[in-house]
Amino acid sequence: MPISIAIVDDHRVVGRSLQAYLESFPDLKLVGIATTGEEMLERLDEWRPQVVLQDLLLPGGIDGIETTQRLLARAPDVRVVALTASTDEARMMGVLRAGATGYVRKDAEPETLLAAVRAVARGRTFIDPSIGHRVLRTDTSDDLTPRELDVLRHVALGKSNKDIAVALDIIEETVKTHVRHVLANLGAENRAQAAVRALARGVVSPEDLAAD
Amino acid sequence: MSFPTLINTKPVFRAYAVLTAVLAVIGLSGDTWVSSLGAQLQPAFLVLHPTAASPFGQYVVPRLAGVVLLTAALIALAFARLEDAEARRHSLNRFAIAHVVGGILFSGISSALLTPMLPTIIVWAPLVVGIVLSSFAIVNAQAQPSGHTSVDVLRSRYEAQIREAARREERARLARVLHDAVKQQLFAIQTAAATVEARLETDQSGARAAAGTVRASAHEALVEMETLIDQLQTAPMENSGFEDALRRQCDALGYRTGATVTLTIGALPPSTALVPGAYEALYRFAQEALHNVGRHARARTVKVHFGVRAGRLELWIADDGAGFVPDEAPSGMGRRNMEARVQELGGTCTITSARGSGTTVMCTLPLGARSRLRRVGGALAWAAISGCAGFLLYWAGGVNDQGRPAYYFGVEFLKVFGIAVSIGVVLIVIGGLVRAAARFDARLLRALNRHADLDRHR
Repeated sequence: MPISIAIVDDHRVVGRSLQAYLESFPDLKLVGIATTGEEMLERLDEWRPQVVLQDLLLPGGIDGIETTQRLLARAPDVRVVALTASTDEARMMGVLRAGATGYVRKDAEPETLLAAVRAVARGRTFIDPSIGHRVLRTDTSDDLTPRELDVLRHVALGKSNKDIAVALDIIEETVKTHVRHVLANLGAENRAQAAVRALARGVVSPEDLAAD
Repeated sequence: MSFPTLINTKPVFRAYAVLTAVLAVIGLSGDTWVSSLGAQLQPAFLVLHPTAASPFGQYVVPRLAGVVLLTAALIALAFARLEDAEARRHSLNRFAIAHVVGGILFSGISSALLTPMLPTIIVWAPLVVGIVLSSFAIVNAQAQPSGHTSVDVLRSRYEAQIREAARREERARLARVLHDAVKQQLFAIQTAAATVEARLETDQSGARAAAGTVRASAHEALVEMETLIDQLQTAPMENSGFEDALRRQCDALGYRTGATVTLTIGALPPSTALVPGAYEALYRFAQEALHNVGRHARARTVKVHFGVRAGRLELWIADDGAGFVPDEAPSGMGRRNMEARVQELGGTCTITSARGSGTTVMCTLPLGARSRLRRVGGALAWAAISGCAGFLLYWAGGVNDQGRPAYYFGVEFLKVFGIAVSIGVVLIVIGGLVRAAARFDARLLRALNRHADLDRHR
């Protein structure tokens, strides 16, 4: 069954060209384009998207972060990919805090967007590798154990707890404990934010993310 | 430690100009009732300059003195018109030095060479005036010792800061446009190109449609770039340049938001009827207003009108978008700047808006600050005044010792003068014709371009 996608972007041309692009792939299906956050929320029940591509800067009414918050409050199963031309780190952390599990910049290659949509639809986290070049190595604190760093690396790569348990050959319950510690230590509220912190610490490189 | 206050040099120059002009009139007027002083000075100069054959008549000395005084008065008047106080003070210094040097020469020569002696007051007058002016200059120099910043220096620093802030604002605006428009369009182009690649094998009509999107988005990005280049343009704008730039702005807004933007252009004023910088101010105003429409209004239709109405140049931008309560909206730096710029030119700005009922911003500029008619009228008035003054001098000047009018310069002079005037008139006529031809040319070219444009988009 194809992944159903909705787009929220106030730029007409962006919405149209994204629609044409995403519809080129048989595993994706576009269910609607909204030009404002309000419109998206209004049509949510009608469209029932699995993934929402969310522009962050929306003129006039509510912005992308608030749209994401309200969207996930009403439909927690929806996956949100923040799609933005801005490079503002505060805004990026904001939308991840709001619950977006994907983050792609508009200067990324279209294939990155494709990968993000497919990854979040499978329940994984996807951070645009190119943002690594911006947030890279701004955080040098050293308060994680080697094992926790391993876990963080896998979290940043978008792996689920089960995947991590298999990769590190430990039980899933232990992975959960490690992830809780890691999130607390990093001051991250969720795995997406932890992925950004991992980039900032150099635990993973942008190339690692891109390779996945 | 307190410093003496700076002397304002403007009234000093003005007083000097008035006094010397009065003395100049006395000197120039020959043997009329005001010239008894001039007549008294006459014998002293006879030694140096026998005046029998002089075209100025027998009162050559007071008249020459009058010419010198008149020149000095005009120079002082020119200095008084300097608006930069710092420059005016420097001028006063030099003016004072010139008087001291000239005064020493004059008093030295006149006391050594002239018999009978000139009256003492005349001999020393230039030097005394020079010393008085120098004392003003010295007071001003003390009021502004080195290391102390005068009000003017502070003001020029303040102005430099304002200019710097304006430059930063301009850069921020360019960055915003690049981000809001050009970057989005390039993203769309990139995505559409990827679509072409993805569909090439399986879905030819889809690939062709995506190629069309690439092309349309590239065109839109080009228009947007054009408006950016307009903003970086430093050459002053004229009617046609403004019209084109405004049209591009409207097109770009339409592409960016999908709204229907219509531009109507009414009667245009002659460019001479506008104060310098009017078009720049109008363009910035339109740019800011259209940008705000794009960012906040979510309008479906936008109407832009530009033209003359009731003796004022009007530019309004009306949208049917979200609207806002003007008193509640934060008045951004862009809006303040654009209002200040229009008000500086004697114009007005009004914003009419309410939540849910669209926004109309209007700006008007006064016309006829220097209409052609008024300029010609002014020139004619000046000609009439100088003619009257000349006639007055001629009438009051009496006759010289050959029985001719005192200001008679000979028939040859009149001929040369007449030829010069005719050449001037011919040049003015030719210049006018060339300008008119150039204007016609420009209009034709624009019309042709527009037709070509329409053809391209059909």
